Amino acid sequence: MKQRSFLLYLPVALLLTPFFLAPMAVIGTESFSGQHGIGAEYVKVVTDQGIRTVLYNTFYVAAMVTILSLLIGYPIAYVLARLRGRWATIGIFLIFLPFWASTVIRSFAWMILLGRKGPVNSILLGIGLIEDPIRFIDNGLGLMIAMTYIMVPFIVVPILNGLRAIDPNLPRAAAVLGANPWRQFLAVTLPLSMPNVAVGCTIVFVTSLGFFVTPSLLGGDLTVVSMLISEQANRLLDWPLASALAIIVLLLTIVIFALLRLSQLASRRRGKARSGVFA
Amino acid sequence: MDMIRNGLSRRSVLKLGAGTAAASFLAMPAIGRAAPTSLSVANGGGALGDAFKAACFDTFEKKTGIKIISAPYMEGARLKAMVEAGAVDIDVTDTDSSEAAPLAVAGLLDEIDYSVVPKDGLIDGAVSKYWTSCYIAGCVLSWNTDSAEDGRPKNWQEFFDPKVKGRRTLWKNAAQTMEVAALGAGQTLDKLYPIDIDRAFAMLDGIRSSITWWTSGAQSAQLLANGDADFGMCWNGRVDPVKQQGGPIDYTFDYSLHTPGIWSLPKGGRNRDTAMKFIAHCMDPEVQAAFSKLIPYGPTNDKAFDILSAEERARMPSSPENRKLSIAINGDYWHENGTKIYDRFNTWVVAK
Repeated sequence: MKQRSFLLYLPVALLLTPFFLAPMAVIGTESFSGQHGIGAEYVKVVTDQGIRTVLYNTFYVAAMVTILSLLIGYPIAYVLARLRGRWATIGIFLIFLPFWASTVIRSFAWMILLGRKGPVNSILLGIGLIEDPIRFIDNGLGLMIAMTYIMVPFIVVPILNGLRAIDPNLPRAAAVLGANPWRQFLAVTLPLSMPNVAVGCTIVFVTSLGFFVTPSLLGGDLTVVSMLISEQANRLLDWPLASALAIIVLLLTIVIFALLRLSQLASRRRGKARSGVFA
Repeated sequence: MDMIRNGLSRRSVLKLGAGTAAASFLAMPAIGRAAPTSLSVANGGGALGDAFKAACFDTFEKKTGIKIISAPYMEGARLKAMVEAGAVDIDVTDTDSSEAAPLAVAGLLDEIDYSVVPKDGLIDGAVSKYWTSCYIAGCVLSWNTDSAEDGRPKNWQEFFDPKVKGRRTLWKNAAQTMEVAALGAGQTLDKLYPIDIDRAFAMLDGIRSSITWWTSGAQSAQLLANGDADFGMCWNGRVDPVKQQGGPIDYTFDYSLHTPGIWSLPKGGRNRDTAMKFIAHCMDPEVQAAFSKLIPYGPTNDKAFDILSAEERARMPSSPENRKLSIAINGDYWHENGTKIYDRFNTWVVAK
């Protein structure tokens, strides 16, 4: 059994070794090849105030986009999961409709929609909600709106799969035992969908860390790390620093997910001790 | 071996129009040092690529029979990777002088052979050891004519004056932005380099809350046309078409920065001799005039202006009239001081 499950990893290993691990090794080596002494690039990344702010911005935007995508995506997935037949197909088609246009075009469209004299500000000014136009395209607000819009489908699909896999008898059983619909959702459906929520959040968070075009057009004064890496690699030709930046982002991401995994395991252990049912 | 024996027939097949970059590469060993049947030229594409094709590529093919294959733009990183891997399949690249400066210092470019490329008639700043400029783009003071026609800033000092109300759009990039900020601080065109960085940042401090950043040329024109910004620094090739189409945009060549658009050769290219002939072809006044009629980038050969009409010359950054109040970006300055200034600029942008 052990032997066979090891073999199942083989295709993944064959794919990841040449296309992920080997390039990462090259980037790792490059990051230590600077002219200012071994590790000087890492010292700069950690100590430079500007770079630290850019790294903070990157993770802050990714976290906000993940939260917003979850808040918007979960209800959509919940509704889609209850649709049947043709309506379910139409619903999923609509979710993926925006993919027919490129990210560049969609980001440009948001730039126009959220501009100082764009429709969104015009409406808000018109109904008297605000007195001055909101500076969506200057302060990062527009960036998070546009990225959330792009990322929502990526969280809907895994959650939808999770919700469809839940045995419909379980919420029914809860109802029989007297739980109102809200209680059924909180006690049965939501916990059972949590693994898929975690998958969706992971996809959205990691993808958001690497956005380039949308932050370029809508980031305003909020620079993210992909823009800095591109500038170092292309314009200043400082590959060691660009590589060190990439490695630091990778390490920070690994640390975040390791912590999440640990807290997940801890809470699962607690859950097992408490109920022993849905482990 | 088959390839060598069948070299001739393979070549005639290529002439019939099946000439792709890959195919000509295969044919290369067979024809030895003879002229290649095609040349790969990387360029920015879009409107620029269309102008290159009509004015430079097609005319070169007509003259020599050598087909020009247009390739996507080579960013610095891609060119470095290509040269260092010894897999140079691009013969000539179009870029600008400040992007070429670090490439030249890193030894990634071949020298231009000026016994083939004629310097005759070329304007100051068009000739360099590792590149030759074939067109001049201008970074110009632009404004939205609806919101800023009256009381629009006449020069960079007024542009950076906090008392002048209005939103400004600037390139989120140290090079060029530091130059206009320094002009705003009162540095003169003839003494712009070395840039007084402290005074330039003081200018940016003064208008920080009214800056909307752009990162691509198309975006800058869009921001001005939409009224997101009242005035800004833009590239003339981006704002002029919007103006011609009746968009609410205007600009001035007074106090403009010239960015030389250049041809350079990635080191180790297989078709150096032909590439040099192609660059020479692009210096021809007729070719340059035809190019500038298609896109408002100015010729580098003064003789080309004789072919252009007065209206056309008025749209060219490098025309004798428009270049009086201008300065060329100093790519070498940016290569020597870039890292420090970029660090400070990037930190300034994200500081709260």
